[in-house]
Amino acid sequence: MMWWKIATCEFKGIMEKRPKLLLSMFVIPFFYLLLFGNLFSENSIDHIPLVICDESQTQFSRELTQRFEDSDRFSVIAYVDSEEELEEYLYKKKTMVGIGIPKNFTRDVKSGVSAQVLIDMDGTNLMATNVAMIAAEEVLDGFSKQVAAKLLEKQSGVLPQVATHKISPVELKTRLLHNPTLDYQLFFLYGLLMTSFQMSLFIPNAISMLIEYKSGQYSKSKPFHVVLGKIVPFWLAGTCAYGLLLTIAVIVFQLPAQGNVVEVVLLGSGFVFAMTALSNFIISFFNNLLIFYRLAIASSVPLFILSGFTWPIKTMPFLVQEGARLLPFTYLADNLRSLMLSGEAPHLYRDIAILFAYGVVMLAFSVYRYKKIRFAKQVKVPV
Amino acid sequence: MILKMREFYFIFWKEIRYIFVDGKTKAGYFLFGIPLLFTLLFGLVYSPDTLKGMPTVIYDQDQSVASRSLILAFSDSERFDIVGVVDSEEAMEEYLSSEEAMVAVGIPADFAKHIKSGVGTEVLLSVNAKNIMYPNSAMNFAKEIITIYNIGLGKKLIEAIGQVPNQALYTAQPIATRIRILYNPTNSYTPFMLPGMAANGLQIGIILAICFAIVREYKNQELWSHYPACSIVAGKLVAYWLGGFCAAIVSVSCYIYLFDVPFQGSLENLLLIYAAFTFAVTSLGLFFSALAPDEIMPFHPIEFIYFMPAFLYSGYSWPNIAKNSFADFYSLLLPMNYAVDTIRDILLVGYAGDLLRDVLVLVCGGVVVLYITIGICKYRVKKIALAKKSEVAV
Repeated sequence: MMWWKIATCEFKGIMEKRPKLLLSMFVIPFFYLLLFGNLFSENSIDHIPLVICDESQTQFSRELTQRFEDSDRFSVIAYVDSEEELEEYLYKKKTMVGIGIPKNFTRDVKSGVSAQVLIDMDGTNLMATNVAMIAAEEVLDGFSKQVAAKLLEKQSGVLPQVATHKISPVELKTRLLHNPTLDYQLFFLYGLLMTSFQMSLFIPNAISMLIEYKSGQYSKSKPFHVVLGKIVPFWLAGTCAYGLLLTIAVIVFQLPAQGNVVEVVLLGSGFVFAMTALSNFIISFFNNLLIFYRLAIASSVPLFILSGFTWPIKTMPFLVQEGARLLPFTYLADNLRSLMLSGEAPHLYRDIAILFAYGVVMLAFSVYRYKKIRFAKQVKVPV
Repeated sequence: MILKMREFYFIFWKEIRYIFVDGKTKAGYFLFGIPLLFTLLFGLVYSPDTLKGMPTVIYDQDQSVASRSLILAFSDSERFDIVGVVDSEEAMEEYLSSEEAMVAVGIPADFAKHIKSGVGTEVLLSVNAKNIMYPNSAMNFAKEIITIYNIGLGKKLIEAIGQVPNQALYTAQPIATRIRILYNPTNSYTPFMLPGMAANGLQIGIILAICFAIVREYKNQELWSHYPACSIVAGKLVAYWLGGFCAAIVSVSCYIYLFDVPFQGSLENLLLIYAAFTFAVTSLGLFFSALAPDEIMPFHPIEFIYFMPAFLYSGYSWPNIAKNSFADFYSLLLPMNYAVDTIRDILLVGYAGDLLRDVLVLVCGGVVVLYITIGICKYRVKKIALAKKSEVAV
């Protein structure tokens, strides 16, 4: 039988006897999408608990604390009387940030001696610490500049506008490309969706190939045709599931979809091909699914982290970087996010070519393994 | 349900043999291998600790002494690595869109002139924000550089209008900020992420090792008729729990001694939370195994959806304050939620206020799940026995 006949036959067989194999490619990632989309629905970290220790207790210090009260990023949960109490709050994890205003704060500032405000941060959760640090510095910086301008105005009689520019001659303007609000859903969701998709993609084709190894249904056809015929239904179904999942992600969670549809599908199709061919090759080393299944599940988190989707790949040690290059997911995750958020990915066509080439190489390896195993069986049978 | 010690021991030793000696499912490899692999791999991945050398392109339209001293400040910082200096906006955009640079610093024409004339000027920091790690780090450190640069400049400008240098410095920066990052002063990634990732590996290892424990015995009717279900389930639980706990100790030693994760708290507390966590996860693993369809498919579909969210929902990285009510509710059901944050607190802070509450929840949750598992086993064994009887009758 030629490969397209085997593929058609397989497809019909799966739909009749084991529709779950194809459905799982869609259903499992769909649940993941809902769970992760919901988790990051707040988009950013706001209302960070804050405790203030205002030892100065003046009108002036209250102007500063008011700024923290007014900020969306923080919610002031308590005012305390001493630094020890503030540290206690932090130690017991009742707050994440503590602001300490010293006793002589107002006097020092007004008399021209620089005063110091203390910001204590709980550094255990870096994600929240980063957000809190940027926000706290912004509040203090704004206040300090305003005070400085007023002081200068008083001391030297310069105009308010001029005073501001003398105090802070250079302003830092920030332009955040492709994710201006630093939205976590935009950052994370596509990658998490694809990780679960990868896991559910890896197993079905392997099951189908294992059935062939056990039953020898197509043992009269040429090995290349059998392997390709086994891959094609999953390749096509996987690409459809990929498109469908992305569409749902875009519609339900209102994620941006800037990329060209053809490029997005081409990237996905290359990935599905590489993964199905890879699973086809790997299953040839296993006699059953007992271990294969579990390896597929256990590998999903490491593959996600290794892809450089969160912690950039360039900062990983050399050997880990090289290892990451052997994984199809590395070529998908970052490119897909780039495509969806900005409409372009710098190495898109190179990576698509790598994915297809990867698939072809794995296909060749699978054919080789299939030939070898079938031959070994045929030798055994006459004995 | 009365637990008889002799029966319990028999099942326990049988399972220990299965895990480490004669099991076909390589349970021991999963139990020890996956937590160890996770710890080693993520320890390596996060070994640079902080994001250094962000590729940066400079677009300096002014080419003055003032602009060059600012550029020098950027190139002196180990956080930024200047990969290109361009002379047009297009070239700068090209660097950014090709991702050769993730950060661009743009200095306008008349930068020095505007500073001197007191009009004020600005520096434009463009960051490719697709990966949130870059903007978070770039914004923090660029701000630091500009603040220091401004203080120096401001001081000179104020001196120029007649204030003495010392006074000028105070006028330029009347309020200084002292930031103390407690418990992880260098803002390192390893102490932040590694303990959680290792615990995640431990959970995955235990559940994957245990997945055959119950489901493979359903056909063995003799076992269920000779031994009460509670002895079978408890014997198996203790075998995997002990194994999981030993695997936890290996993984903890690995991240403390090999990857230098600080350990401020007491060993008893750390062992206590790990014991409770491995107990709850083992119990949950047995529950999944009792639900699994058969030996060929030893997973209940729910398991596929359990693994990855279990870590992200735990509040370990995405903090609890940013969760909505569904996420809050869902995370209440996950053992990770009561363990990972507490483990990190014991390690980094030396104190975890919720330790006893968390241990209690994990133990009680584990016991409840265990009872449910015993119930499921009894029900399924009965069903299989009935099906056999009716087959014989036919």
